[in-house]
Amino acid sequence: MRRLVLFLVLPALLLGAPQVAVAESLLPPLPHSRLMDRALLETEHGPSVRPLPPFRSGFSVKEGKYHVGVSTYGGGLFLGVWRGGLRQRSMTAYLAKGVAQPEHLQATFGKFGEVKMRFRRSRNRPPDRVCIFGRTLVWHHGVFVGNFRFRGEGGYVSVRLHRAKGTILREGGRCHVRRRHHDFDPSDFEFLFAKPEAAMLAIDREGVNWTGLLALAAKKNSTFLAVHEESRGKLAIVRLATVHKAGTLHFDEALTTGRLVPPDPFHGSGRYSAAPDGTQTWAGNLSVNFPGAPRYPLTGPGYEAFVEVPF
Amino acid sequence: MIAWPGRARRTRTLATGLLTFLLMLGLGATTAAAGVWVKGPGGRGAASFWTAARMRAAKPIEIAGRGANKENGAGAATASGADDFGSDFVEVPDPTAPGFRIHGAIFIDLGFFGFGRCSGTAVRSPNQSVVFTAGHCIHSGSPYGRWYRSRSAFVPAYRYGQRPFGIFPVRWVDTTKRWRSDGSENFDVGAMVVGRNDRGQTLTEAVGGAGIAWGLKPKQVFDVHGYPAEAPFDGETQRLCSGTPFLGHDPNSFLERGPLNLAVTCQLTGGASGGGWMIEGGKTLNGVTDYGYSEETSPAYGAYFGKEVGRLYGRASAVR
Repeated sequence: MRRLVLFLVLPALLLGAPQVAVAESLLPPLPHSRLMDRALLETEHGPSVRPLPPFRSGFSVKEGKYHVGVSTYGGGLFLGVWRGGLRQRSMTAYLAKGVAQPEHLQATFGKFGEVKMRFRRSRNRPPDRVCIFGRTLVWHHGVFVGNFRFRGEGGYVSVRLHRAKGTILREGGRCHVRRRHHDFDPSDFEFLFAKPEAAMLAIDREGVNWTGLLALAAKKNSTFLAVHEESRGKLAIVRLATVHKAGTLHFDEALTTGRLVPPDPFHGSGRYSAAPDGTQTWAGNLSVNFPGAPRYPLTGPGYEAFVEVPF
Repeated sequence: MIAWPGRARRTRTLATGLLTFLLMLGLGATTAAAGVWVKGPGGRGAASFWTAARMRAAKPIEIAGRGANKENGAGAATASGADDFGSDFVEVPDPTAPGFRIHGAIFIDLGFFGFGRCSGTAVRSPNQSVVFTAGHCIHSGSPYGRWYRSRSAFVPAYRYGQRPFGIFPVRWVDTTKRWRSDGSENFDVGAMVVGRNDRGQTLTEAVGGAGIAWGLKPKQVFDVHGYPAEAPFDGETQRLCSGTPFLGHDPNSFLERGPLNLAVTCQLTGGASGGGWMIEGGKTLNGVTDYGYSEETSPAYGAYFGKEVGRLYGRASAVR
């Protein structure tokens, strides 16, 4: 179990949710889509995985009701626009190839903008170190200097800057836990381990583009996750919305009918039904608000739905 | 202890340095040439080992060699039959016809794990013996990966256990460096050099070979060949997705180093890995099938043929 926790949570901290450990972190959250699932699940298999870069660097700023930031992500970069926290978040990430080095971020995000920034380490502020599950995570603080411009679809958010506070997160060596870090709350990761009572998955794939809705019914809180992945030239766009709180997700005992009414940023409701001949239908007016793609439909004829009760 | 006069010492240091440098260059060249030799029987031995029953028993390499839950090598879509599946991966009526005979099935002896299989394409080269396939059909990827190099064979135009052009034992295998070092699917390409068949012919003497191109624009129209063996297919016939255009890139591809991989519409399953993506009317190889996702409507994905593939071709065609 400890190995599983190490493999699941440490990469999540390093790559996905560093703000859990250091409240002031400026790294944008990773899009928890199939991409993230892959990073986590493949790590579970042990050594036969591609090595994740032992660092992540980036910056973020607040612009109106959104956060906008740029971060390295594996061998590439992404520009993220998001609202909300770990338990309720909607986000759009624009992925591109470019220079993804700890102290140098450079990429073009097509018509949306570009980034060309270099990191200058703070002379006054020493790095923060945290020991989690026997591994040291080190945050280097400083500023990114250069050019960054971004204008989202329809101008829903627009940023242009030459300087932004940023962070480089590196994985250090082994360590011994002497005290529990006050910002680290294991309950933030309960959704990784909570056993759901029922699970519903609806998928719509059209070529490379893919939309998925995952709903997990649990005793306390339900989890709703909507993901849309899209390939657009030399850019990939990943949109996601996730809510981990009370919402309506009911199925009858035979799992032949169900109703789903998730909270904000979702809107409307979805209806699931399975006919005796095995035909499954997924209908309703359920939609979700992604940054840059409001009221994105999550039902329709292209969707295939699956419902299961985990053992 | 012998004291070296200043000039002699300098000369010796220079000589040692030069020798070391040359050795390093030499070693570097050896490492760059990489690849591994395959132990196994010759043409006749391979023909007697790879019986029709053994070839039929071979499972897609991603199931036999890596575990059934992997998505690599074209997902595990299931349906009652290929027609119900609605696949555009149609059967080639005569795989021995020119243009089709250069494509074949690759069979790999995995020892305790049974027999694995992939698809491959014969490519013209000075040694007349080069086959291109997916990297994961040759090496499991990552620095901890292993080579699949025991008693492998290439069977061009394979059909229902028949070997119309004989069986070509694999002598040497290699993959892109990045596939071995990172397991990055953006570089999932491999090459093998095969020996003569049981009739004493080289590969391109027997079936001919495709040209190979790298560094082209991704926006191509491909003919995708392969031998899918997972349901609803059975791996006994060559299949073709004809004239399928470039769709886009897999978002996962952005996370890994190297050129973005390519997607095309072709609903295939495991066993089709390594199948050739042909351009210019089926004359030139410009991609191989690498993976798909488990949804029925998933496209097929293949690595972009860039400079790394050019270097791999150079190494394979230099093998004697």
